[in-house]
Amino acid sequence: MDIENIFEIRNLHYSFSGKYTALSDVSFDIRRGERVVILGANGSGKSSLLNILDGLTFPQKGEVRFMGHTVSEDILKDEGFNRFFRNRVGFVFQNSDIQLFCSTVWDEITFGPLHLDLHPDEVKTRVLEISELLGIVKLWDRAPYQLSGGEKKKVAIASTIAVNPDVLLFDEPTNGLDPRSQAELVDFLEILHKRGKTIITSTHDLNIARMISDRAIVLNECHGVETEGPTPAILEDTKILLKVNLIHEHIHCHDGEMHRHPHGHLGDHAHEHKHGRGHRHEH
Amino acid sequence: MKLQWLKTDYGCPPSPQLKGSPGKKSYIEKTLKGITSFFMNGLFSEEIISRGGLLQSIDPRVKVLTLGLLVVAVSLYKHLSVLLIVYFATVVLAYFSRIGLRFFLLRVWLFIPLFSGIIALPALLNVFVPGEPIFDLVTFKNETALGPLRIPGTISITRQGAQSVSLFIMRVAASVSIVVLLTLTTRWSHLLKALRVYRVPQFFTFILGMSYRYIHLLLRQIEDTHLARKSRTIGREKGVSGRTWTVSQIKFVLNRSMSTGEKVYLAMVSRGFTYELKTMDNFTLKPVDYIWTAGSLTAIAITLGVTWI
Amino acid sequence: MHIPDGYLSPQTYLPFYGIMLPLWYLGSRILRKALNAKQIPLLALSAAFSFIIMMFNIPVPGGSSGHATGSVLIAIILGPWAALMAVSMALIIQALLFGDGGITAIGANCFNVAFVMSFSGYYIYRLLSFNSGTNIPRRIFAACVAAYVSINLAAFFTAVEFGIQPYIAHKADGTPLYGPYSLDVAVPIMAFEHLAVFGFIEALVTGLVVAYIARSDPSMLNIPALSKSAYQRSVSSARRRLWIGLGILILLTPLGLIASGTAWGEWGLEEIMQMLGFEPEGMKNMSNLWQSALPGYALPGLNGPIASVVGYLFSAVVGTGVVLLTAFIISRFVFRGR
Repeated sequence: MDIENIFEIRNLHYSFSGKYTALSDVSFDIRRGERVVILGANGSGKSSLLNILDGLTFPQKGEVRFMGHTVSEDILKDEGFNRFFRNRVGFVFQNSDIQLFCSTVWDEITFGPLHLDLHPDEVKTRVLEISELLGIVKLWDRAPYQLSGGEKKKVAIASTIAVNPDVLLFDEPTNGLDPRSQAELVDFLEILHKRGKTIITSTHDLNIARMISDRAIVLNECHGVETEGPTPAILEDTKILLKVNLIHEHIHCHDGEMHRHPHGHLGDHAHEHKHGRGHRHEH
Repeated sequence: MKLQWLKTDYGCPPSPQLKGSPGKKSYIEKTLKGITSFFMNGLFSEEIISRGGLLQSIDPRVKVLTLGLLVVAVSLYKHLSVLLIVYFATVVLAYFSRIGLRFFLLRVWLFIPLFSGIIALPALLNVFVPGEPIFDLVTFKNETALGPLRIPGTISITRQGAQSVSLFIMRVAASVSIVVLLTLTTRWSHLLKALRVYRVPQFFTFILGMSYRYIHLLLRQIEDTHLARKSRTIGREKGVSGRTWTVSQIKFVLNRSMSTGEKVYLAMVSRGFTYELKTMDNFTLKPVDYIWTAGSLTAIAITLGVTWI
Repeated sequence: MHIPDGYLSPQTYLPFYGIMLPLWYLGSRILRKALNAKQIPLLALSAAFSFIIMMFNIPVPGGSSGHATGSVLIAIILGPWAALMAVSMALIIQALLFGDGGITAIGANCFNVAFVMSFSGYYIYRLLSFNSGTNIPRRIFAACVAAYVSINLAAFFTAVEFGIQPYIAHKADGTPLYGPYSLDVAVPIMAFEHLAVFGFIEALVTGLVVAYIARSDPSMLNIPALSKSAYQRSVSSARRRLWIGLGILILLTPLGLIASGTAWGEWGLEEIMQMLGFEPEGMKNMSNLWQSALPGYALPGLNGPIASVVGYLFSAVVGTGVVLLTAFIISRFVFRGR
C-alpha cells in the first residue's frame, strides 16, 4: 500500500483539563520523507501537537490519521497496532531528563528495541552502531544524571533512533545546547533525512528551522495554524513572523541572515536603517 | 522620563561586621549539607570504582551474594573475637580495593557505630544489664525505682554489660563496614542488576533504579532554587522564613515528582512500553570471581562453625 | 527510627521479611490493577519524594531539629498501598546506598515505617475526616492527628523489636547478644522521643502539606473544588477552630497517657492477661515451642518479655484509643459545619 501522506491531521481541538486551550482547529498533512518544522512562540501549542502526533495524548475533537489509520486511545490499546505505531514513530522529548528514565545509558538505548521485541543480537548491533555514530560508547555505563546537557540529548536521540522509526518527532531539539552540539544535531538530522526518514521538528529557533526543514507550519498565539509553506518563503515573511511573535522588531531575518538592530532609547520603533545590500526597509 | 530609579551607582562597600557564632548552623544548612553529601557520596564511589582494586574487579552478582551472606553471618556470630576478625578483614579488603583507610574508617564509624556506641554505653551498668560486678561506681543507701527501672543499691559495671556493649558495637561496625565496602565498589545500576539474578523481581529493581535517578534530578532542582533564593536574600534568614522555605520545598518536590511521574510514563509508552519490563545484561564471570566465591564462602563457613560448635 | 544492622537478632528480623514479602507482592498486584503500567513511574517518583522528605530538617521548639518520614502524607495522597511500596523503596535505597538503614533490618524497618505507619495513618485520617466535604480545617486536623498517632505507633513497634532482644538472644551468663536494652528501657525512651519531638515534626509537615494541596489541587484529596475566595473564607473562618482543636488535643493527650500509664502500672500483669484471655499454661507451651524452634537461644520466661509486651501493648491501645476518641469528638464538634 503506498500512502503518500504519513500523517493527516484534521480539525484538532485540544485543551488541558478542559479549560486551557492548547490547539484550536489545526489541520495539515505530513508527506513521506518530508522535513517539516512547526514554528510557534512559547505556549502556542507545539508540544501538545507533538504529544498528539506520538499518540500520547488525544484530542477532544478532530482526527489524527497515521498511514491511513485513525489514531485513538482505543486503537493503541490493541497490542498489534500499538507495536506497529511505536515501531514507526519516534519522539525525542524537549526535556531529556524526562526521557532518560533508566539507570544507565546502556539500559536507556536498549529500552525501546527490547520492548518492541527485537532479537537481543540485533539490539546489540544497533546499540553499538548508533552509539559509535553519536560518539557515546564511552557513556554506556554512566547514569543519566552524570551527563552534560549535550550528552543527554545525544543519548535521548540514540535511544529513539535505536527503534529505527520511519517518522521522527523532535520537540525543541536545540534548546539549551551549545553551538557545537547544535551543529552536530543539524548534521545528524541530515543523515536521517538522506535515509528517507520523515522528520517533524518543533522550534522557535528560526536559524535552525532553515537548516533542518523544507516546509514550515506556523502556529499562532490563538493556537491555530496561521500559515504553511516552504520554509525559506515563510522565514522571509516578516509580517507573519511578527504576527505570531516569532520575531521582535529588533531581531529578524533578511536574505537568510539574522540581524539585530540596536536602539538608543526605549519605546520608539519608528526608524529607518540601511542594510549591507543597500535596500531600504521600513518597520 | 520614567524609570528614573534605573541608574547606576556602584557606591562603596560597607566594612563587613561579623556577628554571632559562625559555628551555629541553621537547619536549612543542615538539609543542604545532607543534599551535598548525597551528591558527594555518589562522586566518591564513582571515583573509587574507577580506581580498580580487588573488590571492584569482582562481578557484582558474586559480590552481592558473598557480602550479603557475610552480613547475615555477622548477625549470627556470638564471639567478640570472630567479630573482630571479620571487622579486621573488611579493613584489609578496603586496603586492597584502594579505598583510603582514613576515608573508609571515617565513612564507617561516623554516625551509625559511633551513635550506637553512645547509646549503648549505659548498658555497661548493672542498672540496665544485670550481672557480675567488675567495677563499683556509686553506692546508695537503698534501692530506688525510676519509673519502670529498678536502681540497685550499688551501681557498678558488669562483666555481662561490658561484653554486651563490645559485642553490640563490633557487630554494628562489622555490618556497616561490609555494606559500605559493597556500595563503594559497586555501581548502583550493577547492584540492581545483580539483585535481579537472585530473583528480586524486575518490577522492584527497575523502580529502585528510576527512583534513585530522579532523586538526583529533584535534589539538583532544590539546590538550584536555594541558590536563586540565596542570591536574593538580604540579611540573615529568620526561623519563620526558614520553616516556610522547608515546607515550600516539600511542596515543590511533591508537585515535581507527581508531574514528572506522569511525563515519564508517556516517555516510556512512546518507546514501546506497555506492561512488562524487559532489560538485557552483559555480565560474564571471570576466574577471579570463582576464586573469590570459594574463598569467602569457606571463610563464612569456618567462622560460623566456630560460633556454633 | 531506622534500625541499623546488628541491632536485631535473626529470629527477629527474619519474621519481618516473612511479613513484608507477601505485603510487597500484594501491593504490587493491587497497584497494577489500579494504575496499570503507570504505577512504575508513579511509584518511582513517590519513592523519590519519600526519600527527599526524609532529608529535610524541620526545627522543633527548643533548638533541635529532626526529619519527618512522610509515610502518612503519602498515604493520604496516594493511598496506603502506594505509600507502603513507595516508602519501602525509599528505605531500601537508604539501606543499600548508605549502609545506614540496615540490610538485615530492611524487613523490620519497612514493617514499622512503611506498613504500620502508612496504614494506621491512612485509616485514622479517613476516620477523622469522614464526610468532611469541603471542611478543609477538619481535614488538616485529621492529617495532623493521623501523623502524630501513627508515628508513635511505628515508634512503639520499633521499641518492642529492639527491647525484646535481651530476652530472646543472650549468652548462658546473661550477656545480651544484640540490642542490650530491655523493654522497660527501650519503650519509654522511644515513646518519650516520639511523643515529645518527632510526633510534632511529622504532624507539622503532614498538616502543612495537606493544607497546601487542599488549596492548589483539591482533587488530589478528593475534595470538591472550591473557588479561591471560598477557600480563603473557609480557612480564615476556621483557622481559630483549628488551633482550638489542636490545643484541646494537646491538653488532653497527657490525660490519656496517664490513664494508660496507671492501667499498666497498678494492675497486676496477671489481671491484664486474664482480662485479655491469656492462659499461663498456654503461654508456657508457646514458650516451649519457641525454644525448640530456636535452639541455642534462651527462651523468654513467663514473667519476662511476653508479660511486658502484653502490658505495653495494653497501655498503647488504651493511650491510642483515648487520643483517637478525643480527636474524633473534636473533629465532630469543633469542626462542625459544611
